[in-house]
Amino acid sequence: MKRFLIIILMLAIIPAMMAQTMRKATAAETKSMVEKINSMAASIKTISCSFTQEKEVSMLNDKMTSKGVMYYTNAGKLRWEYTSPYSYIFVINNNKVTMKSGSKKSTVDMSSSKLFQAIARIMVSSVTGKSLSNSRDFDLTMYCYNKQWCAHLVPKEANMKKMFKYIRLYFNTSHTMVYKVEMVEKNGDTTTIRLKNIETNKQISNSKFSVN
Amino acid sequence: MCVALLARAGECEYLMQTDSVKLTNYRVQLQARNASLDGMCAIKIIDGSIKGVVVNDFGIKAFAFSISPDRKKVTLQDVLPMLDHWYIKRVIKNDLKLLFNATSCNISNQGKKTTIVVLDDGTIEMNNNKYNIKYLFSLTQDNEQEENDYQDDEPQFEIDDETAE
Repeated sequence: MKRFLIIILMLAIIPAMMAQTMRKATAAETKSMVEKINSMAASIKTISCSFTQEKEVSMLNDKMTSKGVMYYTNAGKLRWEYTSPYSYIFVINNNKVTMKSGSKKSTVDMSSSKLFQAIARIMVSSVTGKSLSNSRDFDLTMYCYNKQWCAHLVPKEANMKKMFKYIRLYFNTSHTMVYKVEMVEKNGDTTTIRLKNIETNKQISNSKFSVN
Repeated sequence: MCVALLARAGECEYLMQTDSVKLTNYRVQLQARNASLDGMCAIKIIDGSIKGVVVNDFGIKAFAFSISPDRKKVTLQDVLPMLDHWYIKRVIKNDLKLLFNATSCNISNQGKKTTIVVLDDGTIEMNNNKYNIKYLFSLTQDNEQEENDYQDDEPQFEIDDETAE
């Protein structure tokens, strides 16, 4: 019994020891970090990856999980596709947003929709870390621990403020890519998107940015 | 212990499936006059009440709801700003109450204001004819939650939240 209790205690303590606390970056550090992220983001021509999206819902004491794939080019094209538990495709191409859910397809001209312009801007920024210094959408605070960086974004726009307390982007050790996005709602419910199998600057077929 | 609750009203089964152990996930499509919502509805029975949340395809919550154990009272919370008006919430609450009280026995007895049918593929279609709103609920294929595979290779961080506010 004693041995069992010790094992339980160790299992509780080890994750706490492994978790590292990030510190707030100074103004000079923030400037330097943002410059490096923007510079690295500018060098990225294409990104393809898979992702897992988890939504923790406190009311249900459970989480909802979706999976999918993402393709991006710096020519302003994006394909965000959910493959599980259902099919949903969101494509930005030539200033148009096309969405396909099941057999239902719709296209919206982005120039006529401020909402879709904002969605596109935030999605691209979230994936690449680009435009972090853009003060239009968020107040930015950078955090760091050794080589790990995190951008803590507090929404400025009224509707976004009503929905999200903050959004966090986590960067990989070479600061080239976002590998995790956390979106925290007002009540604390969190949506976490983890990007995996990331490939950069590889040729992506144009067919990925059209929806049949 | 895994006790899957068979939702029943007398001998008649409720159309909307519920479970007290794991989430029941429905693909949801809502079409109104000037708006539409595609996303997911997750439901779970907690302490006898039906708790649920409707999120859009990007995981943004449209609203959460709670239905009392006797299925007579519906409450909404965390309503998306664009839906957060008393007249919209009243319609949603009434429609959810009808939906979760619909059984295999009573769907043919619905009034003219609202009709509920089960399509050949199992999709539940509810039409609010007064306000011209159509709801489609279909069970997702992947209702089993998969184990995560990211935890071994992902650094664990904590941010001092006091400095983050």
